[in-house]
Formats: sequence, C-alpha cells, structure tokens
Amino acid sequence: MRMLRYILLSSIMLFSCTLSQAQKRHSAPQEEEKKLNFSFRSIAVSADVFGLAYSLLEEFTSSEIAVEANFGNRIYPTAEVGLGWCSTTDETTGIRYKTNAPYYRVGVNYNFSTTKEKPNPNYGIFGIARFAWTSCEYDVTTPPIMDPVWGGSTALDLSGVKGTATWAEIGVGVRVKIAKNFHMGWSIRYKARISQEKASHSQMWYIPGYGINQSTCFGGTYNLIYEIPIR
Amino acid sequence: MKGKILTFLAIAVMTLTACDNGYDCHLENTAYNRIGFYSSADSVTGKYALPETLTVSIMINGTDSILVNHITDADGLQLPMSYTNSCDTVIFSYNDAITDTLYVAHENIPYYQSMECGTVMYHKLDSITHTSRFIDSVSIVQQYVKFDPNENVKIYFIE
Repeated sequence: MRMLRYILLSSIMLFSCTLSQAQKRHSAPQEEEKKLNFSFRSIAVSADVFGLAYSLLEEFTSSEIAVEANFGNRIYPTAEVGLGWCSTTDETTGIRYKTNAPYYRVGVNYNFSTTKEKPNPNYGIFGIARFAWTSCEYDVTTPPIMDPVWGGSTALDLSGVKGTATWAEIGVGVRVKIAKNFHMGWSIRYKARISQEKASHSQMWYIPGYGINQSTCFGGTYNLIYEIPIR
Repeated sequence: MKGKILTFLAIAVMTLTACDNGYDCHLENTAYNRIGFYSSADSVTGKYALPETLTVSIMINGTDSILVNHITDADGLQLPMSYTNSCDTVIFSYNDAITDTLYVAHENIPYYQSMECGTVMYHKLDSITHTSRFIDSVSIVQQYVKFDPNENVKIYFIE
C-alpha cells in the first residue's frame, strides 16, 4: 500500500507538470516545428531512484542507470545496467536467501506524445519494450528437513549457486521536463520470464532486475534524467 | 489529452493492484516411490491384484516398522523413501507367512523451491535388488521420484 501511495502521489505531481507544460505549448504554437523527422537529437542518462527508495521498505530491490538516444523525440533506443540485491530470511520457513548481481536490459521507448503538430513536447507518454538478462550467484540455507517416516533429518547449505535468467518487459511511462535538460518520470512494466537455469538442488527465488521468480510480475521505475543536447 | 492521461493513470493503478505474487507450493514435502504390481505371466493386460493379503514393513535401525497392514487385492502402493539412507530395506509379507525383501538403492535430493514453499525431498532410484519367493522381477521405469503421478517401479509377481 505504501508503494501504491508513493506512485499515486508521484502521478499527481507529474500530471500537474504535464498539464502546465501542455498549456504553455498551446499558448505558443508558433514555436513548434511543423515537420516530424526521426533524426538523432540527443543522448540522455538516467538513474532509477525508485529501487533505492524501495530498499527502505523491503529486503530485496534493484536500481539501475540507463543511456538512451533520442531520434526525433519519438524513438529512444535504450540500454540499462542495474544491480539487484536480496538478503532475507523467511519467518515461517526459516530459509535464508542471499544474492546480489548485475542485470542488463536493451530495448526502445516510443513517445506517443510527439506528433507532427507538436514535434518537441516537454512531456511524453511512452510505450516501453525491453529484453533483459542476468547471471547471478546465490546462497541458500535451510533449516533441517525432518523425515516423517524413516526419521532423521537433512539440511541444505548452498553457496555460490549459479543461475541465469532472461525475460521481456513491456510497459508505459510518463516523463516531463522539470528544468533545462532535466526530466523526471516513472514507468510501470509488465515482465514475463523467458528462461531460467535451475540448479540440481535449487532454483532462484529472487532474480536481480526481475523480482520474485515467477512466470510474470510487475515492476516500476522512477527516473531522474539528464539530457545531453547534441543538436 | 487530460482524458487520455486520466485513463492511463486508472489503467496503471488497476494493473499494479492486480499483481499476483502467488506461488504454487507442493502441499507435502515427501515424494513417494509409486510402485505398480504386474503378473510375470501376463505383463500386457495391465495391473495385477495380489490374491494374498499384503503387509509392507520397512527396516529402521534394525527394527521393522509396518507401513501397510493386511491390504487385499492390492495392485500397487506408494512407498516413502528415506531422506538420509542410501539404501532402504522393504519387506513384503504375504498372508503373514511368506516374505520377500527389496533393497532400494537411491540418492536423496533435497530441493529448495522458494522462500514461501520451503524445501522438498526428491530421490533418484539407482537399483533395486530383491528376493524371489513371490517376486519374479523388478524394473525401474522412472528413475526420479518426484510429485508427478507416474509409476516409478514395476514389480512382476509369479502367478
């Protein structure tokens, strides 16, 4: 619920900024270019602060930096590199799980707000597509497993277990210019696991950059973006 | 534009709250060795129901412990396997008079599923040797003992 409140609050902030920017653009239509072209315009670097904030609430999270190229304010090829970490103990099962590893994403953002009439909007609603992968090592320690029939017990104490995973992400994002060359925005992403490598005695519980290991899940980012103008 | 953004926000909130973090856990952590009974004379027609009453015991630290007591018309059973032994001794007693002993050699595979579901125990069947009072032969048809409903072992009885 705290996360939901956080996102709603930020949505309202962005919504207000977006409306004010939209009004400004309506008042000065003569400044807009009339021709939409897809030429290279700028490079932007961004950092996800949502993951850092989320780490205050949960024992696992991830955060990333990204580089994107701007083609005509509409198409943004993007590469993201992040770090996911997890160190947790389940209160019910008593299992300890620990990992931290980098993850990588490549893909594209598509700005639906850019039109022929408004080729340079100061805000954007984006469609997001990514392919992502990670290779990690994790530790698992379990309490003894009791044999209910034959008696005795055995426990698992695994360290440095290797795991890899790939997944795809689609989502939507909102972005607004807050100062010269500075933007902020958030995104919500639907993630679908494509593949995972299972070890002989375990499988990943937390996949860095993906989240809890299940076939699909949701994720989010809140980005601070600096645009390096090229032309 | 205002309407589009409001619609988008509504969809975003709905999709976020619809997120499901559920796991499909196994309800128990013991995987059973599923054994089917067959006739050595006719292995084609299907299962063979033992005409004798069957009592199944396991040997734990030199002491026998009854698992199944005096069942009739049995055409199979599910056998729990030891988490720590590498060879289980299982005794089939027919009509409390004649016995066969099976020695089930196996590897134990503790498997971590997830934080929520905990750990389960799988087994890998290596070999099964036996005495031959009523048992003609034994074959392993599925080596890994997990939670699927497939038969792991076929026991062929002398009719």
